[in-house]
Amino acid sequence: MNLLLVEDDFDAAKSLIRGLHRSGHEVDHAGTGTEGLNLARRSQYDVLIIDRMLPELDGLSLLASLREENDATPVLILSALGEVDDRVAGLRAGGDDYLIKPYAFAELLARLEGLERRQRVEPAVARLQVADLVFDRDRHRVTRQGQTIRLQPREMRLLEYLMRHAEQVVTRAMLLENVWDYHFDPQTNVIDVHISRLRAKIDRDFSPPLLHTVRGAGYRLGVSED
Amino acid sequence: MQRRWRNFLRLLHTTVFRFALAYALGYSLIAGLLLGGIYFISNRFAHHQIDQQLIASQDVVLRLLRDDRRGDVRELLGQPGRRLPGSPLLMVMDAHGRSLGGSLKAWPAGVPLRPGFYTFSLPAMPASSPSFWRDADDYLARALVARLPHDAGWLLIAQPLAKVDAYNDLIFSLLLGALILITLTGLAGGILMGRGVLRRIDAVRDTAADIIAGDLEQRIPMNGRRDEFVDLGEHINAMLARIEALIQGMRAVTDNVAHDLRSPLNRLRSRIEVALMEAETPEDYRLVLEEATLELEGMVRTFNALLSIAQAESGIRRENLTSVDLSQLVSDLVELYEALAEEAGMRLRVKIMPGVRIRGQRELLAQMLANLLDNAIKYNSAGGSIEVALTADEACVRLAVCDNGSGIPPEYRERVLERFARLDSARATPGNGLGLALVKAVAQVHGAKLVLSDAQPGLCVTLNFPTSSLLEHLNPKGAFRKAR
Repeated sequence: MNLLLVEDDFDAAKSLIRGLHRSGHEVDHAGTGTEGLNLARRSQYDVLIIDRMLPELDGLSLLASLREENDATPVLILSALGEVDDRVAGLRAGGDDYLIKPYAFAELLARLEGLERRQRVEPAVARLQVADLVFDRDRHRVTRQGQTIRLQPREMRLLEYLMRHAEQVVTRAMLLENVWDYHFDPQTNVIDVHISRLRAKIDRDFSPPLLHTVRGAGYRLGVSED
Repeated sequence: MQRRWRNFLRLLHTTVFRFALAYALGYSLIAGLLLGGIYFISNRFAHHQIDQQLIASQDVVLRLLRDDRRGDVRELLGQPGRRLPGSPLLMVMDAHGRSLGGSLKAWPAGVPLRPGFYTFSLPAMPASSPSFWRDADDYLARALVARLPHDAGWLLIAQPLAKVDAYNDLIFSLLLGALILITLTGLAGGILMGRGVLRRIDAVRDTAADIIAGDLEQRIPMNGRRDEFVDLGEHINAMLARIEALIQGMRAVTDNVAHDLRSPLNRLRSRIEVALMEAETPEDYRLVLEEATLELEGMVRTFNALLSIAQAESGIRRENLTSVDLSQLVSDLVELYEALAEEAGMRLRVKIMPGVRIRGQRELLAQMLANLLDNAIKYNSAGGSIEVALTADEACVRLAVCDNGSGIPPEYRERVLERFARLDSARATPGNGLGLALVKAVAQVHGAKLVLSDAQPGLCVTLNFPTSSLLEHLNPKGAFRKAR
């Protein structure tokens, strides 16, 4: 992906850029809000990563300007401000996702890829398919190799999300946010148990396994083992 | 002396004193007008009476003269010192200016030979009493002049005004005295009232000064009366109590933060230092780094929880409450944790009254309930059951999470219940840590009462939320203000 990082903490930026490079992404860096705005206007990026607290022009104002100019590039907001209202303000200003510092690199990476994917894929697609697993939205039916799999409503939502992000890493936080619509931090591995159940239903009696655990990050639904 | 003068000047600047002064002056003005009116009218009346008497006397004399009862008139005139009723002064003069008799020696200067009323001045008479307002030569008399029948001459009847004037002067003195008294009383009253008010205000001011200097326990003294000052004082005392609680809360929080973050920081540091000394292979380093990352994640969690608690206790978050569908929230979270409970071999039962809404923060409530469910599963064992109940009536909304089975071991149970009294110190080892402390903080944000009870066996955690109607009276800082 082509990414723009607007972050005034140069040490943090350096580490982040290194990590992103290693993951195969190109990253441009701006140290101030105005510089970031100029770069964003000049070039086309897949995702913009904008820190909220910036010199000269703060992150939300930068974002607002871009949106006013009808720039619809997905934006991930990074912030040390983590209250509900801060998140709401960030999303309202035009942000697509909001990550609170300190964050795990794997979390950031997963969300970036998720944003890029969301941009490309039509949300109204009625039929999702990963290998021989088919999800039919209109008929609320899930089949694998032709056999119907019975799922609870929540399990269906979980599977749908995973399928929309097929081949991508999806973190537990992302699942809690998008499938259950909550933003808190569960102390235990509540999500894991739901994944296990889903896995039991879609993978146990079939081959190859599609639902993988990615250590230190989350889960991935896909063919490749990686 | 200096201080007395300054205090006096303060007095003059008080609103009370100014009101009293304005009132006294206004009252004095009206009283002055009134009393002045009384004086004026009584004065005029007295003079009018005199004029009437002169007319009556004149009639008598003229009749006598007309009837040509010379004898009577001469008798009248010939008896100096003999007075007509009302003691008028009398003079009869012929056409040539010769006195025909009377108590007056000569026609008074300044009185023309023309019928009518005149006022002239009299030389001092021994019978007249000098008054405060006049000198001896200030004496006047009122005269009535008439032509004698057949143009024979002139008649003058006069009445000294000394007594009347003396009477009027007395009235005037009294009225003026009254006016001065009213003004002075007003002033004195104003000063007294001002002093009273100043004293009450100084009590408040001194207390405030003490508090500003750092003594948070001071309160404004109450004197047992039920007036507006006491009312104000009570409110200020309540405010001071709240401030004291907040500051103590903040002290406790900073103490806790220091402790809770120092320990894991210390652990992390030792781990890294040891690794630097001992680690040899890249695998060793990798392991240490991974463990360090986990430790850091734990610390971030602790930090976030502490921040939430601190904010909740200081009331920062109370400003942004929205309407939350609690029924839906409980349902969602139970569904989320149900899988985990089942995995652990426990039964999760739920009873939710639909349509229950409260004012609050959705994410905080979710975190709180998650912590409770976490605990319920953690402190339970296979075969146990957990019950979640959401009920509501007019008075309150009740959310209860109860578990049975082993529950909490007796020695810890005491501690948990004990900790409830000061839950900000309810922090166990990292990883379990701030669950209940956060529950308490979230309860506080929502104005809810937290009750821990023994489920015998097990633990029951109950939260009593005020209903929406009550919550309208909850101001941003969570204190109830009086219903209007």
